[in-house]
Amino acid sequence: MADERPEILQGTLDLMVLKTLAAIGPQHGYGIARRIEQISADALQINQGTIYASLVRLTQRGWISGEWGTSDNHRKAKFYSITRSGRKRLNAETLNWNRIAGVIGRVLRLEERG
Amino acid sequence: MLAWLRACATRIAAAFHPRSRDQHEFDRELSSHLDFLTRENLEKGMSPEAAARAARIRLGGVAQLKETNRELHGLPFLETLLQDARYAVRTLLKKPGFAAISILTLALGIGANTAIFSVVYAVVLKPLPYPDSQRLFTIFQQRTQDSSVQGGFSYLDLQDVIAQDTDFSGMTGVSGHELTLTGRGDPFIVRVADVTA
Repeated sequence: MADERPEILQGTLDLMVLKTLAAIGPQHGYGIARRIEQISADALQINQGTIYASLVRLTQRGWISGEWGTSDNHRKAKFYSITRSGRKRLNAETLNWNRIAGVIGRVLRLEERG
Repeated sequence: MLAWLRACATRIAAAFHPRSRDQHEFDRELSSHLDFLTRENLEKGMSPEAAARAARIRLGGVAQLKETNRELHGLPFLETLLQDARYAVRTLLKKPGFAAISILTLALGIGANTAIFSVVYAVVLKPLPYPDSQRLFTIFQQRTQDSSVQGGFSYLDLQDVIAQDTDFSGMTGVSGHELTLTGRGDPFIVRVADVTA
């Protein structure tokens, strides 16, 4: 299923997961998915399970690491945290994203005037 | 780039380990996630069955998730290749007659190809055992009227060509023939060549 999604969407979710972990600290899959939903004002009501493909990819690239722990309500869960190289990647990708969004925004504004 | 390499290395390493441990761990992650979702639904006031059902829907198809997770670890291409190979062997063992004919045909094909290639290589492709053999040329004469090739090159013609300012660093006339070597033992024929200076 992860292969069917367009590459950009895959990368975007990875970026959001990375950002979430950087912002709120170590969190488990459910917490990350919930947070993304909340921030997007529930506009991104994705199947929460899709987050696990992101988590695996990010772990394999060494940008996050996972560890089993206990949650607030004493449940066992696997907590993920961002690594140092993960933070570097996040910064680079954020810059990239803003740059691209700016360019596209300019292009779209151009079309409206004409 | 480095990160991608790291991911590849992880997957290759994982391909050689039994994946059951990773899969069990993922199963635990999924149930933990379902747990959280169910609690969230219970807090919203749903009945336990409705909460559990809604939780499963919200999470997405568990089988699909497990499959995706499995594919991300290890090298699915390699695994399917091995699976297919094992299946092929099993099937062939069940039909030995067919297997024998296939193998024989393949052997014949490969053998014939190898033989032909060996000949072509020795005769045409192999470089001559001289240094800079790609700079060696044979010069022959061709009639302009009908483009037929002359069998020989006369010594006088050779002198004419050498006298011209050609791009060749040197030219030599060669005439090959056979002689009989006598003396000790049985006489036999040797191939010799006369060459110009």
